[in-house]
Amino acid sequence: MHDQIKTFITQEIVQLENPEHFSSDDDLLAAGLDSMGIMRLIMFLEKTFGVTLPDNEIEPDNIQTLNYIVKWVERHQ
Amino acid sequence: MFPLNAADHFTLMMDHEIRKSGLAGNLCALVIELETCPDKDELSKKTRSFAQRFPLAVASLQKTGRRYAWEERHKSPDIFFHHVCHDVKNSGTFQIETLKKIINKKQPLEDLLPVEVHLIESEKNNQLVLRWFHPLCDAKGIELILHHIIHQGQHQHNDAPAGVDAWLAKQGLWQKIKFAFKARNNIRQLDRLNSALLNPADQPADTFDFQIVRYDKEQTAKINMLARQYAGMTGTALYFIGCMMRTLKTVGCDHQGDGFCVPYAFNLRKRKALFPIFGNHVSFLFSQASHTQLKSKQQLFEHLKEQNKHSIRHSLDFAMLPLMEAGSWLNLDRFGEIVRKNPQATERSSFWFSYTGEMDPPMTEILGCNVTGLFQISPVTAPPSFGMLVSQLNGELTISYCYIPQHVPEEKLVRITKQMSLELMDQA
Repeated sequence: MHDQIKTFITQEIVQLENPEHFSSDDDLLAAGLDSMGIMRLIMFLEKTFGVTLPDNEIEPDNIQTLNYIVKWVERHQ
Repeated sequence: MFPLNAADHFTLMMDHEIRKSGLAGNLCALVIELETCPDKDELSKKTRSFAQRFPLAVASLQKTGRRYAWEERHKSPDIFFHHVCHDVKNSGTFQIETLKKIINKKQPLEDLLPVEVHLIESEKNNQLVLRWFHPLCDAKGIELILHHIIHQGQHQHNDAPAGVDAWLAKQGLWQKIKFAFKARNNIRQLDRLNSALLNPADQPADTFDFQIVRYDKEQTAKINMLARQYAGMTGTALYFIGCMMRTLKTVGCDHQGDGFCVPYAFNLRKRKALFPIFGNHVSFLFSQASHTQLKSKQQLFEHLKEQNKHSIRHSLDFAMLPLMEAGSWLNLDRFGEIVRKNPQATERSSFWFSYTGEMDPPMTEILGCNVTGLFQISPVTAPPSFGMLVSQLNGELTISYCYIPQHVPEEKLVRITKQMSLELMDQA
């Protein structure tokens, strides 16, 4: 799951200068994850991992880093 | 350049879908019926003056990157058109045919005039037609345009953001995303029922038509009383939707589906405000009922009222705005597909609906000519190939049935209009 999400973020959502140095605790919002990116990411997560992510949980605490995202998805699996 | 707001983009996407259906596009009309014919030179002068004061009314729509915006034209075009019937015996036919030509005139997007003012003159009847391209404004906006054309210069221009822009500007990033997903989840819930359709619209279409049904003051009072009785003080729109659902169920749909689903807009403008004129300041709600829920009229309206309360309680009405804003970044094809089709690739809307209520500001005369009637016309996509627009003037209701003749045969339309009157009057 971790690698799949990482690949999606670095290849489809955020243009990183050095994707190979991307860490699981890097701040994705500071790296350029915008509103459209967040929406695409959530749709990817729901489709790929078969979860329904509640709209009231869409907040930085669940999306700001790759580690947060993985934990959020795991809680709903 | 004047950028389109999220709701304008939504109507532009609908223009794209209407064109794909074979029609001219999202060209609507506000038709004012007049007892006598106003001075055409005076009307032409007022229209020109309006266009000079509000250049957006004659702007051209251009694509800028992924999105669209209005661009001022170098030379202001004339937007006033005069049609005269010389054949007294056929004045009624002349008016209808002229109106049909106006709303079915095909032209490229960038050539379209956002507003056209047509005076259709004949010995017996006269019509003032405001043909508008929906991305420019909503149904309330066109009433305001008429007001500003006739009462020019009496009001100070007010540029304060309103409606859609103001609401979206107040929401933070996370709030907008939450709302967008809330709206999406609501639509997913609605998609559990496959929508009934009058016709699957597998025949090509090239034109749309309309039928007008009028109710006098007494009938209108009765319908409005029944609307309050069944659907509550604020449920007039729901009454028309519910009655049409029951009508279509009785008349029969070629694609029966699991029930009826009807999106309808509500206006975010401040009541009585004369500005903003331009822009679509609307968001959407959905009414849906299964076939079982349609059996009892009383129970149907209890259900529709509860559904409406639930939507408002959970902000599902405003939640559509961030979803539309996100959609405005998609190409029109993709946006249209997402909006119209459920996961089974069936059209989500059983029919189109609009309720504008009593004209506001009221207009009893235009340049000294008494206003005797009013109705609105709007094209529809195929499917559902059928729409119902309700307006009211001086306590008299008018329903415009807009339809694609290739998909809704005249015999069926007659049955629908008759059955709908029975439903509205509680005589079904």
